[in-house]
Amino acid sequence: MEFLNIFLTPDFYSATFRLATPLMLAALGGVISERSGVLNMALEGQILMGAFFGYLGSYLFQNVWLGVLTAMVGSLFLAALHAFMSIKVKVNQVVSAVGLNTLALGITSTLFRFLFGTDSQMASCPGMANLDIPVLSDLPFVGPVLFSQHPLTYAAVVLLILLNLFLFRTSRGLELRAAGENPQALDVAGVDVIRIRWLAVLTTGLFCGLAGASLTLTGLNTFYDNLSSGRGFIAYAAVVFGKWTPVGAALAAILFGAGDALQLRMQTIFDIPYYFYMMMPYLITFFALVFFMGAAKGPAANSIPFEKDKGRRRSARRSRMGGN
Amino acid sequence: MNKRARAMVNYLISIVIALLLAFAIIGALLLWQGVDPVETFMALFQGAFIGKSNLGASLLLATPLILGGLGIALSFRCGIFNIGGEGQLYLGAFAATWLGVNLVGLPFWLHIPICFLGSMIFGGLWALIPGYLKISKGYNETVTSVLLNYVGVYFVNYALSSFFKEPGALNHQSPKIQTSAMLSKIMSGSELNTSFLMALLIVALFFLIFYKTDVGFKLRAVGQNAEASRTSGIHTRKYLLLAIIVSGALSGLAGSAQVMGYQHLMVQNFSPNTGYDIIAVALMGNLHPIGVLIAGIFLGALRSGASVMQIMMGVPVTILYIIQGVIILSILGFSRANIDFIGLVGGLFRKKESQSMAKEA
Amino acid sequence: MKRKLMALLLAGALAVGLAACSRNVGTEDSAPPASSPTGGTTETTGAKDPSEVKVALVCGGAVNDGGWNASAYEGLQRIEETLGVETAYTEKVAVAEMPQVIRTYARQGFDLIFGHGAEFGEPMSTVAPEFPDTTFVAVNANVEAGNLTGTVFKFGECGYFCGMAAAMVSETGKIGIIPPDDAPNNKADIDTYELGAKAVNPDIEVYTAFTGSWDDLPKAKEASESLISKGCDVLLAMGDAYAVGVYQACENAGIKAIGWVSDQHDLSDAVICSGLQSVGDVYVATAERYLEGTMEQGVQVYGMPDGAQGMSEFYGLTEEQAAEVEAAMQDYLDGKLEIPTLY
Repeated sequence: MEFLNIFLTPDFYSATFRLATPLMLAALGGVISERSGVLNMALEGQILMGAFFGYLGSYLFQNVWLGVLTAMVGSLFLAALHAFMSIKVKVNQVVSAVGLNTLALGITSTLFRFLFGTDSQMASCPGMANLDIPVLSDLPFVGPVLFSQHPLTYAAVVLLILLNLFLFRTSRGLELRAAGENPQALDVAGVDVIRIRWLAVLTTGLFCGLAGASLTLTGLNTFYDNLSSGRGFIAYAAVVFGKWTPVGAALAAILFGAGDALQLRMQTIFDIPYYFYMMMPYLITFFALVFFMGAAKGPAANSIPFEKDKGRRRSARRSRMGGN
Repeated sequence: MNKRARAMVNYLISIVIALLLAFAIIGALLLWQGVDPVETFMALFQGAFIGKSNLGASLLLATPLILGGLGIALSFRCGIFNIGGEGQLYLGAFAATWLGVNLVGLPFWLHIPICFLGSMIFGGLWALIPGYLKISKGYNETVTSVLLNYVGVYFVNYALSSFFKEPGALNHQSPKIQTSAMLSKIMSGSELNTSFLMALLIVALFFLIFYKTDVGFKLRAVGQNAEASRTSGIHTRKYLLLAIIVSGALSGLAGSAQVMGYQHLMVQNFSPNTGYDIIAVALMGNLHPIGVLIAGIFLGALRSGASVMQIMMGVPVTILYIIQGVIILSILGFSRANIDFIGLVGGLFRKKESQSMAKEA
Repeated sequence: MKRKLMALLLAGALAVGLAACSRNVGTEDSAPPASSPTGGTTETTGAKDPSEVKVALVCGGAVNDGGWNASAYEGLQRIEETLGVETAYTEKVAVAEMPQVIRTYARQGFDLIFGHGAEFGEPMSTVAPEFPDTTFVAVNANVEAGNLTGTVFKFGECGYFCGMAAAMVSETGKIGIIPPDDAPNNKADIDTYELGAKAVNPDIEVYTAFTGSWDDLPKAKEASESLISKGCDVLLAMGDAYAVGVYQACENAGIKAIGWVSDQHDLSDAVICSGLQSVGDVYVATAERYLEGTMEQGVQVYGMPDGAQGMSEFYGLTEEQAAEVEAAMQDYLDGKLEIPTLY
């Protein structure tokens, strides 16, 4: 009975949205990049960059919004590298992501030590408070769940709607999807595929910057080594799980957030070894994926570098497989 | 100079440039911090290679990276992006430790192979889940294998805290394995043990099987073009399954080699992140067995050197991740971009000829 | 086809066999370190000149974690300042790298080497016999050998008095604790936290939320939110870096928190008191004894009687409440109060 009570409290749902926010922002970013044909497993590194540079900016300028800006600049740097490696140099995109994730871990934890020393006292920076939306936040149940969140949660929802409209209701969105499905045809139609992909990957960086900022600047107001701790991989899973649609990815992120919120609450009710609680969000996602989602088919040209005037060569497929 | 040798030299030059680039970036960071970069790199090199203990430590750290890296290379070659090395490694180590502790009275020549086999089976089975889902249902294996990593690691940590816990220990850890399951050391003053030799032998075997046998040929064919090989009569699914199982089994070995080689018991989080490091090793090694061997030793040496570097210079070990990241990216970039360094250098002397050569390449 | 597969399997078996066969029976790989002939030497060597002594610290985690590892780093700095010896440290050492790092220090002439955590017990047992002139100390590990000493705390002491304080301050009758995991040393304090709370208020409800990590700040913050939603109004943050996450949640909800290891009132005003584990004191005391040549054999147990554990100042308790906790602490020291501690 107590278990069912979890689902009756608004707190469970607001925790779900809080936990889902960084995942959702990064997953939406991932959708953009992958829809344009660039596989993006570097979400983890980009979130970490966003988290650190957000903290750094907010600390240096003593202003949380400038912090959000530096967060986006930080992860944009990594995104630009990914774009350069994947689009210009045409390397294997999984490999590029592995390299970038490692690089991000190195940059953030080294700079953290160089700039903040090894004091046991952690310096805290300005952070953002929850934003109550007038009138609506006073509604029973729905108010605290939906209208008393921190600004980046609202941003995630707004971006979800905008992205959905952009992808499926605008001609630019159509072009972006075409770049990931059939870049050759798009090229023949006179559209610059390379440019679209560059913009898409950079936009992913901006989204991940927000995701990172939502980890450090919404109440935590501090940073620590490897703060993203695998959230980028979960966000990547959400992209695939959501079948490369913004709504699907967002729902997957929310499902994972709910799993995490649920296990933290169940811990106070059932006395089973806590390891199983830790496993829960991953298992829920895994089984949901296996039983309900079915096989996922990504954009046809995802992860295949675009080569102008060469047609859909098999060599492109080879490079996707790794090696040379 | 023939084409192949030329490509080889170009590849080597690109690696040297990658290294120089990485050290230039780190050097600039160190200068900014007022640390002497030359002295720091000397310390790094010394900690990696000078003296039996340091060299032994480098090779010791390289062993699991080589074993696991080979597995990842195989699966990536076949177009299966197995990111689940971490879970497979933990389960493999768990199986080996369990057998090592609970089988009593066996002679070592039986006990050790049994433990290794157990770890390969567990690692292989754990890899089979995403592999099967991928091959027969088309589920994205990167996602399933990442999720299973967490499940596997938490399960092993649970085991070490409950039914497989050494009573009375302050840490959650397993009992010690029997003496008959411990590998013997091969270098005094370090923990280097026979698992390193095993890794070398497996590299050689891998090379022979992959490049000189029919099975290897078919695996490569499946990897290069699954559709074409299916139409040419190769039982694609079977080979893909074989690849992922072997990949998991090798990750399992990477785990058991650490326990049986020198840790002798399993603590929670006994080998953090190794399952992801092996991906880096496989990729730095260009998914080639010899490349994996070199990359594994390189990364092991970097790790071992970095700890000595921190001792001597007070430089945080975290810069290692920067070195690693820059090297992966630049090796990757150069090898993909196919820059003809020989042609470039030749061009300094004979401008005309080099232009025609660059065109050739 | 089948034959090829067989060949493959055989080849694999061969490789596995090699590792087995090249094994020399009777090598020293399992020699128990306790049989080291150096036993007892450390007691009798007499006083040492601080300027010739070098002390090293090896940590599994990061020294800027604001908790467990930071406390060791602080201890090391105090050793350098007060005793005038040379020091060095290495952080973020994975289990696989521990033997090499410890050896490197020993070979570089470091005389006293601290391994900071239970996970150092095994590697130090392996390395210690190789360097009979070096003294090894594994903190929080119950290991001992000739030149290897383990130090442990009387785990469970602080938990009890933190529980008392929490129960006194709680208005809802519900308190919480956020530990990283259920390792035996943490478990001892988790259990006594409840005991102490029940001693003050038998009806109090105690809730636990594990985070599964010592430093996942966002996760710790969410774990706190979950306990707060359960109605808890005092939370004990038992982690390293993540305590900050717990305090942030407490400040937002306007409830109280209890610190761990060091006095964390300066991190947040929500902290009403902290359970102290003077890791730094243990380090300094050990180094002092080493310099004096009075180090004792065997596992060293530190606790409240020798001032290594205790409670910080009480910030959020009334004078009567603080007095009551202090009286209980005195009872415990006098042996009138039994607390089920580990060691």
